[in-house]
Amino acid sequence: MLTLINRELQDHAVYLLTAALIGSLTTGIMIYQAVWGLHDSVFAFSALNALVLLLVYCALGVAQMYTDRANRISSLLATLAVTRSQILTARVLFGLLTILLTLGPLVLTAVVLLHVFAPPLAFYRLAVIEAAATVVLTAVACYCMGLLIGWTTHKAVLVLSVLLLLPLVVPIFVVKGFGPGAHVILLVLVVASLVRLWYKFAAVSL
Amino acid sequence: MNARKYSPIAALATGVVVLVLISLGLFWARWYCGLLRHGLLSRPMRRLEIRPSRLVPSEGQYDPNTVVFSHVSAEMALGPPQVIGLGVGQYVQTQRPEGLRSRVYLWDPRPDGERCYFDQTLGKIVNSEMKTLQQPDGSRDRKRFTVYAGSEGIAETPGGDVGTFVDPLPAVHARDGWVVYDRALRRFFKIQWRHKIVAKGPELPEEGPYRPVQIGTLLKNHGCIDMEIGKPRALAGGQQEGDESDFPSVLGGITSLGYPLLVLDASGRIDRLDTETLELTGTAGRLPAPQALFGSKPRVTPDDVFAYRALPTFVRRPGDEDWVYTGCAVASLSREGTAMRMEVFDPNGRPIAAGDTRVDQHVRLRASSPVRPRSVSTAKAALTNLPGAQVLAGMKLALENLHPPVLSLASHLTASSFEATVAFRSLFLLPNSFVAMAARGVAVGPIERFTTGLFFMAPSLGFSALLAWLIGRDGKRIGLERRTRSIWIGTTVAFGLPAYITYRLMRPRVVLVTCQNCGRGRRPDLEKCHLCGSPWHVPELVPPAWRVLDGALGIRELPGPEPPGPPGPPEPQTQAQADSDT
Repeated sequence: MLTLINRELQDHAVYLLTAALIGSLTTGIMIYQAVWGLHDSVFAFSALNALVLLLVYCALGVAQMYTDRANRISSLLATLAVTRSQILTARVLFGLLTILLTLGPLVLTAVVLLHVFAPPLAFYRLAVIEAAATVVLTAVACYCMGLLIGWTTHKAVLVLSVLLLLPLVVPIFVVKGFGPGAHVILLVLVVASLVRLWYKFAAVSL
Repeated sequence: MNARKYSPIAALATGVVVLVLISLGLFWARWYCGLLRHGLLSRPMRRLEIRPSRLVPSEGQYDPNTVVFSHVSAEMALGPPQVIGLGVGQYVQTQRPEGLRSRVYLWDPRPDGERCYFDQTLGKIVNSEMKTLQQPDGSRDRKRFTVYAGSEGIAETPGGDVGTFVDPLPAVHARDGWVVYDRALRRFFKIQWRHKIVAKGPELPEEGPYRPVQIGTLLKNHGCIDMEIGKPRALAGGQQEGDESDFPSVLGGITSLGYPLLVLDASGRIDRLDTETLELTGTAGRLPAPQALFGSKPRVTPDDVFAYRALPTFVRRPGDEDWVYTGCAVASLSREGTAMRMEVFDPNGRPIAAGDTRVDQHVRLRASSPVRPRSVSTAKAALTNLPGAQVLAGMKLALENLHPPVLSLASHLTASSFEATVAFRSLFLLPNSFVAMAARGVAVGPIERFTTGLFFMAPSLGFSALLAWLIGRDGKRIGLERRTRSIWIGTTVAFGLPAYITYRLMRPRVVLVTCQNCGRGRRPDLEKCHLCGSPWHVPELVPPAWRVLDGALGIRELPGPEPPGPPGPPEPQTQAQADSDT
């Protein structure tokens, strides 16, 4: 499994690095915002960064599946002593690790900054937990959408699907807020996407 | 691994993904339509004014020169319900400190600001403020003092034995203290922080009609309704014309801050609370029922309207010191956010004036008849009468009919069960759809309501039936089992477009070959043709008419007929579909 994850890392390191770069930039902006008390323009920049970050996660999913589909990597690997389930598990684990590694420091920074600067109220503690959960689930949902979208060899369909589906998934928190309603919908979407992906991936012909 | 074994789970998962994504797409399309519809209402259509307000008794008696009578006005604010009702806005508005559902009642973020909140673990309302202390040497020292209020008194330590609150509902910014209603203890309390006294009112009867939900400032969805009250004014000596606000007022004063406090009940009734005795002393009014497309209920609860606001009026006569309660004006905004109603109540809670947002039009019933003025409710005008309204209403109906019929039916059955704001962030059930509006209609009986709902659902049902027929035909063509086909048809009738897309994504990819018996496409993996039941053509084994014998005997090969080749599928009839769809 570690070998498979390592291979994913080698193949898609650029996405991990891009996400890490944007995550670090956003973390720096948040610290700058908190320490110097700037709000409006910096907030807009942070929001834009977050959107780009979600796009990177989707692109990672697309790249993982598109490369496989186009080059038949899993078909080749399946001739070795690995199963398709292991290949997919390694792929998804790498994606989830990328999300956690790049979003984790961001969330941690937000928690520390709120602890230092925000009033000691339950609202802020609850808000940061709920907002962090929503952002992480949205990121995972974007990644899963990328995995589903990437399962095609038509580039036009791929681009069109990204342009169509991502604007639907990202604003789920706008519709439902940061509370349990948004969490349930995102979680259902993630689980259903992974089940469908597993079915497609396992049923593909050699 | 046998993926086919798990296909029902895969179909279910695909269906869920498709349903969520289609619901999201339809939600934003409906949202944008609603936004455009709200934009059709111009400012005069969104505004209501009652003049004279009747909240200033005998306006002319103070000054015979009164030329401008008092007025009370309400206006649907520019922020459309489609924006205010979104989940992220509601989350911030209700959960933030000082928000409607927040336990933090007052939070001044400055270092010396006053803070007040309910500490759930202590069961006490905590008040913390900076006070200036005079030191013995004459110098002044500022220090933060924190006190803890329970149901029996105020303590200076968190563990003080002063009773506890369970589920407090406070009225902040009361004049001589805070009035708190505890929903579990069913009593009103008055907390006087300065004197460190907690006064307790009588317990409300458990079975009685009292279920207070808001005290003091009665307001739902801040920023949706702007209300103001205007003083009566008179001409000053020699003043003939000018802006009415330049005229001096004939009253000593008019305000909306005072006592008794207004208490909103869960039934929509507004009561008066005597802040001295902490008893409800009578009715002050009730939430008005805004017009709806299919008639409005005579009585509405706070959950039935998108927004409301109450404006109590206290008048001070010239030369008087005391403020007198003269009644209140209450406005409420409909579920759809397109109609508003305002009612004015006298001090005893009797309605004395009312108005609805309406659109005045001039219509000609026939070519030869004269033009007549006609006034229609904004609830109806926003869907039918205003320019572009019919197009938007058609789009709304079309979008609602792309929604799964089973969810539309559920929306009809649960039309009044949901709080009004929920409709603006609901993905699956549509409480503001035509189907649900028909279910809330009051002008007709339940059977007519249901048939009206079915009428609005008819395109959806027809569309689903068409999709189900397409699936049935396709399933038969590709040789799906009867049971599987029935399940897909039933699911498509219930879920419409999402089920059809799921079927297209999940249908087996088979290459059909021409059946030699019926000439139609048949599955090569089945023993018999799934359409005519004929087996594959198996040729009879005929012994060859030639022999290879030992050449030395001089017997040669005999010419004979060519033996038939092995049976196999002929030319493919259809091409395999690309299985790369997402």
